[in-house]
Amino acid sequence: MTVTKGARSAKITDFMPDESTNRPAPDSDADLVGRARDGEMAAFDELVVKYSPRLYGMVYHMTSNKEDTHDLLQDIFAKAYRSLSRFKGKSSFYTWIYAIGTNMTFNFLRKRKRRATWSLDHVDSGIQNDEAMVDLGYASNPRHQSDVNELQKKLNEAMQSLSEDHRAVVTMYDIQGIPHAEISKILNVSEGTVRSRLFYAHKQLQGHLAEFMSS
Amino acid sequence: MTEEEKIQRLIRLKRHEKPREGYFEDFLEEFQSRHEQESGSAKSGAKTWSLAGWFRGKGTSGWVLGSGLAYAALVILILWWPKGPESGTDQSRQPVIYEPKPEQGPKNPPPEVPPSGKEF
Repeated sequence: MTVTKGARSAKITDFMPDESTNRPAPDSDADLVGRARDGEMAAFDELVVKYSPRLYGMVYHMTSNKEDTHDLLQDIFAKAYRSLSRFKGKSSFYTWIYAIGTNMTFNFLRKRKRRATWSLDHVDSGIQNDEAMVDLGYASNPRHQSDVNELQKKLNEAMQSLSEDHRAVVTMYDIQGIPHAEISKILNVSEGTVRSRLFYAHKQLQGHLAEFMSS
Repeated sequence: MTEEEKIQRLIRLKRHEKPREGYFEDFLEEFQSRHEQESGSAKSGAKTWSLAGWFRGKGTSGWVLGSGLAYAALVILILWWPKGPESGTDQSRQPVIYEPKPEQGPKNPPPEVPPSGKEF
């Protein structure tokens, strides 16, 4: 994944973890948490910079709505800041805040009355940036662009067809690359439950995306 | 490639769905601004916020303690609540306390009985 660096984003990219690699070192998080507890807001700001991209991804793939994602993400970090005194360090800060984010997202989805809406107009960086897509010239070919947009729409619809529990494991494992063991800690379920939910979810998704699986 | 692998490959395409450039810088600024606003409004109710924060920090025991204190406050309130607007000020509503009047000369003294006991 290529991240464009600019004057404004330099600080963000310094802390942005690669999607496919491990999370940041726990020692640095422990130091930041300790300082944030002592009232140093700048320390918590660094944690926000570190984890907002990954948490954004989790919330967005669960809600498929950018406006809801933005509001929910603000609430997640606000709650995490208020709850810092309750972080005992038994897990990494990453796991802890991820669990907070997941629970709040679940609560939000349950309360949401309307069906999740996905806005194609608000997609700034789509799957046409995937290496395979770029090689095939999808990014520059207008004729194929509509196919990509259709695929993106179908992917979101397929994800929304899953229950929250199944959507969560697909988001964490397939999209964000989080290991089964970590997912089980975040969701507070056994690894076996994680694996069975993934299996079931994949079966469901195959039904929705059959037309794209051969291409 | 198995069906499972195909579907995983499709889903992984969603990794590239990202917000616009500069979104996370703006996000941090908004978070900082929101925190400053909340801190400012919290100052006016600092005592209440601190109390709430203290209870939150206690976890489950905080809920138990808080419930107990709330119940005690309610009981005290009920016991000390005035009975009505008339209570306490209107003397005519005060309970009547019988006080025997000091002895006075009777208005209609009984007829004197001659000491001899003779009849009229």
